[in-house]
Amino acid sequence: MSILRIPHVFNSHISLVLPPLHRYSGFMNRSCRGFPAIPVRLIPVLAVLAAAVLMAGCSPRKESRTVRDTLRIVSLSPAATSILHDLSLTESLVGIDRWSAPLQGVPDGLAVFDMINPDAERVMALEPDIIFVSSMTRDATGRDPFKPFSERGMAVHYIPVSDSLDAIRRDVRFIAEACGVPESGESLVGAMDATLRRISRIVATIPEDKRKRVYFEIGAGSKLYSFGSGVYLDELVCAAGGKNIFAGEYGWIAVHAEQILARDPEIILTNVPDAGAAAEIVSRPGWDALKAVRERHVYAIDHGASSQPAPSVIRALEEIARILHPDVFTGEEK
Amino acid sequence: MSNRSVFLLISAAASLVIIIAAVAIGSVAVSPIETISILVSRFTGIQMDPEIPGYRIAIVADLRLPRVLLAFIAGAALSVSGAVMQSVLKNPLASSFTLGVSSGASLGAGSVILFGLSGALHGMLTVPAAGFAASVLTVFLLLRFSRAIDPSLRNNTIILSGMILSLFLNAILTLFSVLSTDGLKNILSWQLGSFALRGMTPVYLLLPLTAAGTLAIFRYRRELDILTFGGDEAAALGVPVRKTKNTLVILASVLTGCTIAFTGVIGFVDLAIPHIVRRLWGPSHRTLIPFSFLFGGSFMVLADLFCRTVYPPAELPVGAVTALMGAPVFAHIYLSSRRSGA
Repeated sequence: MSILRIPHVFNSHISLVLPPLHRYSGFMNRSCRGFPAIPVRLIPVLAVLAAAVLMAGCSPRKESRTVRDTLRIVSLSPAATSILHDLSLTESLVGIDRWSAPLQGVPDGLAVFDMINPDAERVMALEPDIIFVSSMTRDATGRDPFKPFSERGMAVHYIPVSDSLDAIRRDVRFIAEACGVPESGESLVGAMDATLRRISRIVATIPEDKRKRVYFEIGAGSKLYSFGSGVYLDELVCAAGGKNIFAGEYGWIAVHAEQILARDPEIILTNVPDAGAAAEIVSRPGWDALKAVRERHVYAIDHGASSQPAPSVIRALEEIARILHPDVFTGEEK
Repeated sequence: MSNRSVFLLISAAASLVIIIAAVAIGSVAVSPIETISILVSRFTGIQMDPEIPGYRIAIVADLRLPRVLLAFIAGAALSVSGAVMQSVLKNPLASSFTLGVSSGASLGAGSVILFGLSGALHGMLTVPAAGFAASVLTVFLLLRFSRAIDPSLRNNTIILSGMILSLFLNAILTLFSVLSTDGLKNILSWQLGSFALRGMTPVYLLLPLTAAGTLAIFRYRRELDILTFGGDEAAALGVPVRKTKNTLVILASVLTGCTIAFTGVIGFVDLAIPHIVRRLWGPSHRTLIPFSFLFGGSFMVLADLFCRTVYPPAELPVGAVTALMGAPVFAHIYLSSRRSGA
């Protein structure tokens, strides 16, 4: 049984190129000149350190665990929790992170943990078979923080914070396989793609000049947050027949009100989880200069469906498509 | 046996008791007898009570023990480092933190977290390595900068340069984190410091490092005593002031740098513990260094115990708790010994 697998990390778009060492040597020589040489009495200290580094490789034993009939899953990744729900596996959940708790279909009464600093003892006491951990938790420590769990024979999977529809498909397949239901994963991806195809067929009939300029706000307050290309939400706006006003930027971005005013969006979407989010945007001083605000095209998008990279984003896609092209999409859904 | 040795032995024994007690207490109840039998079998290999469920063995041996040991080592390293900085720079508020070491480490670790390098280099100790490298680089920059403006390396020059450097590095990190939305929480949690889920690797690395660093500093105890009189007196007594200062500042910074590289930034301990020890046993470095080691370590173990048990399942940031617990103790000891005419 594979105990630890890291999905996507190696086939993501990061390439690592190390420049040749000699390029640094000149710099090192210059910057070290004038500093004291290592005093003789520190030499034994350095020797101990070298021994320490060699010693650090020691690793403790592995154990086998008893096999149970029912699967016990702890999910410390909201995206994984959302995918588990779509795979109808929520009844196997015994523990979740705090961001997973309000998601649709998550049962009450589960143990709830902090995502970045989970109470590891309590996770261990739940004796899960599978633990899904957000890669954010690992990145805050930079190692394999759940090694004590995988050493006890629990399957620990780090789930990346995915940023594209393709990566979401991979996450679904990966989680389905990890839980022993690969065929459910395939059919879930199939359903996602079917809806995507249906919507893009309709959108294809809409002429290019009818595609509206969209500003999608994901964070309000002292700073405004939106996104450029390379984010699944940008793919959704595009697939729904809109044009993200920040498509020229890349990734999750902080934006300035002036940039929004200059780009004059025709539609404003917000998934800020607050009932008054759309009204708050309309009430911002100076924003009535925007076409979208003047014509009251400011809409709230389901936060639960759109905020996690999971198949639920397809629900958000349908929502966006209906808002952008009410004439084509009204009454079209099942 | 002298008074000092008796106290040292008592303190060492008390530290050991605190460590074992901290391993026995946690958010999941494991009885003291179970804890001891798990620990004994972990260290000796003797078969323990087979009735103990596996998850409790894992909790004690794989989750709590590394955490408590790391807390002790970190507290010890930070306190010894603080004691050295205060003495060398003759300033009661000087520490690796005011000299910018922690800002350097935060910037190094933060850059790795923000720019996602840890994903690309998964499995390696990327974040601690970057934090450590950046903190060492910061000290070298600091000393070079100080020497450029003041070749005799006066204390005030070093301290002011450190503050400038620290503000500058913090500003860069703030700019970086504003430009990125998703890395912010990770940087924040790294800066708050934690001993959770680190595993045994940092213990295996830091234990010999801290022991060696403390021993190296202890060998300079006479120079440290003399340096507290001031640079001119020390030079008159034959101490190579600049070289000694350089070496000790670097040693103390490396102790702090490698510790916070693994645990995140944990303040206050390095400031308060040496002052408390000085008030209790006087300023001689023969007592200051070993007692700072034991007191700092024990204090950190207790602070971490408080963090993980007071409000479960949430964990409090240990950096806030050290200040919360330490400030009143510090104030009491400092003020009461003042009043008694010290």
